[in-house]
Amino acid sequence: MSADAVYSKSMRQATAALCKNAGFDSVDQDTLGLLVEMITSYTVELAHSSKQLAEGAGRTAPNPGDVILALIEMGGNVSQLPDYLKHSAAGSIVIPAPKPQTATSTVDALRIGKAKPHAAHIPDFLPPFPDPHTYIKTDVSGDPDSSYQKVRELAAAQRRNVDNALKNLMLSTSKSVPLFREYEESVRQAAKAEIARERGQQKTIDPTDPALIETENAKVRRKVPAYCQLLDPTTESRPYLSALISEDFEEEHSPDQEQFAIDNVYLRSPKIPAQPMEFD
Amino acid sequence: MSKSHGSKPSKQDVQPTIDTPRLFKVLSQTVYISQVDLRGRSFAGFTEITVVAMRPGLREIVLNVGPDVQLPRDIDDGVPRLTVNDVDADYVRRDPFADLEGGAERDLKSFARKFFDAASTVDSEVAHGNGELVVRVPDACWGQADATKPLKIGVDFQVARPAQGVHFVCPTGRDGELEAGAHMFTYRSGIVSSTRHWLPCVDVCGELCLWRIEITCDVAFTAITSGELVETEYTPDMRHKTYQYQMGVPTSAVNIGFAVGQFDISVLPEMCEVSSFALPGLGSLVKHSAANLDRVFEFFEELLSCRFPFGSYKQVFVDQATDEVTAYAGLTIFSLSVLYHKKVVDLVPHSRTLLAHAVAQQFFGCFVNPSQWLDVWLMRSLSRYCTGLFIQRYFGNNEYLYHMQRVLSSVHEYESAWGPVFLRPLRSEDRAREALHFDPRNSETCSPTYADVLAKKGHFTIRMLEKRLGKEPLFQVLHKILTVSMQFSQQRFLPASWQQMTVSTDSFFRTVSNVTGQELPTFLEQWIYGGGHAHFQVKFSFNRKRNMVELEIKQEPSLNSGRQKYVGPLTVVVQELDGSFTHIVQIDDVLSRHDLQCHSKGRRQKKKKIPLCTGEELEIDLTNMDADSPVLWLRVDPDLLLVRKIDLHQPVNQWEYQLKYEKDVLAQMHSLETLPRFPSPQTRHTILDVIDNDNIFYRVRCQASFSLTEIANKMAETWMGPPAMINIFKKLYGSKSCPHIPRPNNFAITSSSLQLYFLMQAVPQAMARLRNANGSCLADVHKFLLGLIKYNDNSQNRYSDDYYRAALYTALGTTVTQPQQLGETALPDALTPEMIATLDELTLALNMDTLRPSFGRVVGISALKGIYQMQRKGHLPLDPDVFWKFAQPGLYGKMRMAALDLLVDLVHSCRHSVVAAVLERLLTVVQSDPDPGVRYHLAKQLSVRPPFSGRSSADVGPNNPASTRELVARIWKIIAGSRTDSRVRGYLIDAYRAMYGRGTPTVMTMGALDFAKSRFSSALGRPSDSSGRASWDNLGDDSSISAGAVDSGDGRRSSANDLHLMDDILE
Repeated sequence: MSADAVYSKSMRQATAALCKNAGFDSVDQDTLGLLVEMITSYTVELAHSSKQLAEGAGRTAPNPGDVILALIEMGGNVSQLPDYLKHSAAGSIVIPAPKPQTATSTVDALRIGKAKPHAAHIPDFLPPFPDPHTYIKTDVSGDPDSSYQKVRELAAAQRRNVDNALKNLMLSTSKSVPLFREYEESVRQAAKAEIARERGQQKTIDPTDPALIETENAKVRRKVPAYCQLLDPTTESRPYLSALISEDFEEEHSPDQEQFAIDNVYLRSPKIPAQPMEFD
Repeated sequence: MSKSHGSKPSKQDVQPTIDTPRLFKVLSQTVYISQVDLRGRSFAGFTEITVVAMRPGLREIVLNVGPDVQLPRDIDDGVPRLTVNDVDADYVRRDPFADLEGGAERDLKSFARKFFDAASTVDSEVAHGNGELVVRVPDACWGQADATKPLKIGVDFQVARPAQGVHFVCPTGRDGELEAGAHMFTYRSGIVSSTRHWLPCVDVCGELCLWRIEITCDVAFTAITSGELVETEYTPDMRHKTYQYQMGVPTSAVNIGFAVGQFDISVLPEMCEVSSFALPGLGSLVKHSAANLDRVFEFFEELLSCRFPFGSYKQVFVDQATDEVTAYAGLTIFSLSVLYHKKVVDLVPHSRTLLAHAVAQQFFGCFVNPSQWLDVWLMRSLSRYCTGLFIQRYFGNNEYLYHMQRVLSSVHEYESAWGPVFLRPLRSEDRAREALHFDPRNSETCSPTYADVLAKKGHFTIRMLEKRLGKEPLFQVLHKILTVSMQFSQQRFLPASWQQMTVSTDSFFRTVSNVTGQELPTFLEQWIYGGGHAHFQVKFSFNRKRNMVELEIKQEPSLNSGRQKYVGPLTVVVQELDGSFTHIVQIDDVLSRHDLQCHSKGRRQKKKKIPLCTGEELEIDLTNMDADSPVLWLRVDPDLLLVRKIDLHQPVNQWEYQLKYEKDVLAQMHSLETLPRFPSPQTRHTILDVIDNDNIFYRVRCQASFSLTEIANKMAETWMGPPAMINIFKKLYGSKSCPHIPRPNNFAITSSSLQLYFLMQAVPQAMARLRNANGSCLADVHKFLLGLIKYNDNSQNRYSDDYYRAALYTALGTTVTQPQQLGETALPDALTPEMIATLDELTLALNMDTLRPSFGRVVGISALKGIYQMQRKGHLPLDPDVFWKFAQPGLYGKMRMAALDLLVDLVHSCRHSVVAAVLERLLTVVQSDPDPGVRYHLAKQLSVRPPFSGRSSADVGPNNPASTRELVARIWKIIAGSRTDSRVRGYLIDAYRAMYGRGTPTVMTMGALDFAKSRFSSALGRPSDSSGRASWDNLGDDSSISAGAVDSGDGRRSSANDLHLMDDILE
């Protein structure tokens, strides 16, 4: 909880107590808020003028005299004050002092390595150096393995990773054909039951809910390895297009100029029939 | 023969005309097609056929029309008419196959007869011409008919949701809106033609006429059909266009097809008559694939010294095509799978060959026509032969020889499994169908596989003819045929002379003797009118005293195994120390002995070079030779002069010499096939040298790696250390500093680079087949393959590595073997670490292929096959649903077919109880899949790999969960259904034959008691060979069906099977 929140909480309690002392039983939220605001600004104003008076008198901290003077300046009736205090002290509501919060040590979460200590000419209160890796230069030690074999292995592994990632993504989002049908059925039943248990609170479970299917798939996947599943082959209205023109085979289009020079009956435009002229 | 055809001046009709038995001749046909509704899968049409009676008294005109064509009586709206000379005419429709079901026998023997008879009732070729539509000539026209004046038959028709012959492809978005790329096209559901399924016509190859075709379609669409585009015109409402085509060259209805759809046109810059049509988005691919077409034209025009016979040539590339190539006159419809991207090198030879084959078919088949179905083989063979020469010219002689060898082996494989193939069976003769379960004398009843082998055998036979006549004389013959056709094609007003544009087997060989002066009676008898192939078992030994090679040649002719008894000359080449000597021996009986004089007398006195048959002289290390014999090796029929299979016995060192020093690739291949029988460190070393030798043809090197695997597997106990193939791969492709990491891919279109590229695909697949003594994969190989996949780097390459990656995943799938101990397979935790690594790679590859498809989905297909292997070997639970997912419509066709293949293989090789349901569902796909290409492919696969084979009684027996009476009923219903697609029927008849033989299926004849009993007995392991055995006729001891069989039992598939680089080019 931040300090402001603590103070404002105390202010609210204090204001509420004042209202209680004044004889109110209940107070409207908004009204209380307004009162808190007013009291807060009054108190802040009082503190300011006290401080100014103290400084005007050549002191750094105000003493009671300054406060009283400030009260007077703000038009307060100081003579009534002792009576008021005496009156309100009896049977007054005690507002507990806010508990001192244990200072949560702010950890530099992402600190890596030890920051360099400050040099002698830099005062200690200045912030420490950032992470060493952001500015420290080290010499390359030992050659990186760039042998042909390593490069090929890395390239192959990378290709494989990309493919696997795509495959796994597709398997988790779309329908699949199991190779171990019975086993997968039983695993899926178990997963369904588990989901039903988890969502027991919810009265209705929509079996077509995509999120549900996804969690179910994820649960099945945990038990059934990905290599036991085939993607459901997608049917297309023109399957030959994807089979004959692969996306890897990018087409370079060359404009065919000579097309126009060729005389072929199919390239001639069809004859328009003679329309009988009609007048009405 | 009548001389008053229509309106032409016929005074100079001096050409002899062939008297046709038909009652009338078609002069011309006009077709109007409109209201093309792609989403409703329908169009409306009107056709006018002009015929002339051949003799007075014509009262009925018989036409062909399929059951899906609605004639006036079936059409509701408008005033549809069927008229003769504008007079309304009565007509009768026939449904020939309405009553095929038959009794309870369900046997193919009687079905074949019945089916043939039914097909003959609508066959326009027989007698006076039969057909499904009989139009009665109205009384008012009798005068015209009797005066043999032209009659015009006008028919309004509609085609709605046709089951065969026309296919509509309408990509629709989620909201049901029609998307870009909608199109429709015709295809051949029959072996020869299916024009009748969308147009009333005389649907035979020999009936030529002139055509005029008008197609009205939406302005966004283009209509392409046979003939020359005369004009395109908007309709008055400007929302449709009419394409007017005219076909001035007499053409048969068989060769008329069309396509309508949203196509982008690209024109060959060098030849503006050649137009290619691409679906939106594929324009660049089509342009690239067709870029070399001008050279193809140049090649054929020069080869045949004949200009392209049609005024224009159109290529349309469509989705969901049934065949890679469908040739019509002046128009070829290609499958999209023919297209290749400029970054994909693997497909180029195959695609270019197909494009060339399509052009060759324009000459033979579309322009020159077969005169009837029985002569169709000739045109198909000639076009294939010319394509073969294209291969020779552009891909080299070795490739051509290799290709011919493939053709030859597929022929004798088919014949030994199913029975002899007769190129030209005589209609009167029953010989052709004795051994077969169908009748090849009608295109409707002939099996599609048989028709395919027929063309292959014909191709091979034409090449044999070339070898006999010489290339020049043969081309004189072809030139003559083309010139005659060219001459008569211009006689537009002489319909009788159009007959000259058809060629029959007889007339072809008449032309051969006229042009070359040679008669070939034995050739015709043996190879054209006779069926089967020759099978030689050859042994020899060297007799030192006589200085002779004593040769023994044995044949075992039998009808069921497709082997004929060959009598005639046979070439034997003996490579001796002093040179290569050719001997021609006369085979006169099933067992014949011959003595061949050797020429090398003193041997090895002085070291000298040994001359080869090529004239080259070589230093040969003779230390391994038998000291007594001067024979280095011996070859039988080296030039492929006979349709034959040869089992040659010669010592291992001779095979090795043949492999090392013979220059002929077929000899090298033969050695490589034989050497695995002699595993020894010596053979191993020889084969290693071949793989490593970059002077050797790349296919031989690839084959060598598979042979090496076989040898290494046989020597598994003796060999220690890393497999030699890993070292070879490291040497050829590894980077310098760390050989286990391959260099980044850098393919280039140079011959050496391409050879290395193909070898790079073959070697991993070969090494993946290596097994240790326990029959499991070598750990080194597994690790190495994973490394290859991991370190594969294509980032700097100009070309795509999709096929290479696919080869690696295929290899990885091949490493999967039966686990040592069978554990719990239902849990992922039960997998061994190696299997986890394999599975991880395979699923990653398949998933990435789903997200970023490879070209033609090759990577995904390979990975899916690998997952199938893991299921079959028991590492993953058997789950057909995984493959059904990838077989669903809406995925790329090749992927679907691959998934279906796996399911077929599952049913074929597995005896788990799930197969019954899988088979049931497969049959549903065969019947009702939206893509006809998938239907045909699947039906064919079922015939190649039937669910079970009737040849082993234990398998067909009741212990097989798939063999039920319901299954028999189900398949029979498709076979005997009147509306069944004819190709589907053909394949399923083949499958039925493979499953049940020609008799009544066992499950049908067994009583319920027997059934239970034999189920019990088979459970006890006794043969369940009871009552059903008697119905097996025709079951010799011949080998099981081996056409393309995948032996997935031990994971060593027949080596060439899934090596796509070894795919049959012309299939």
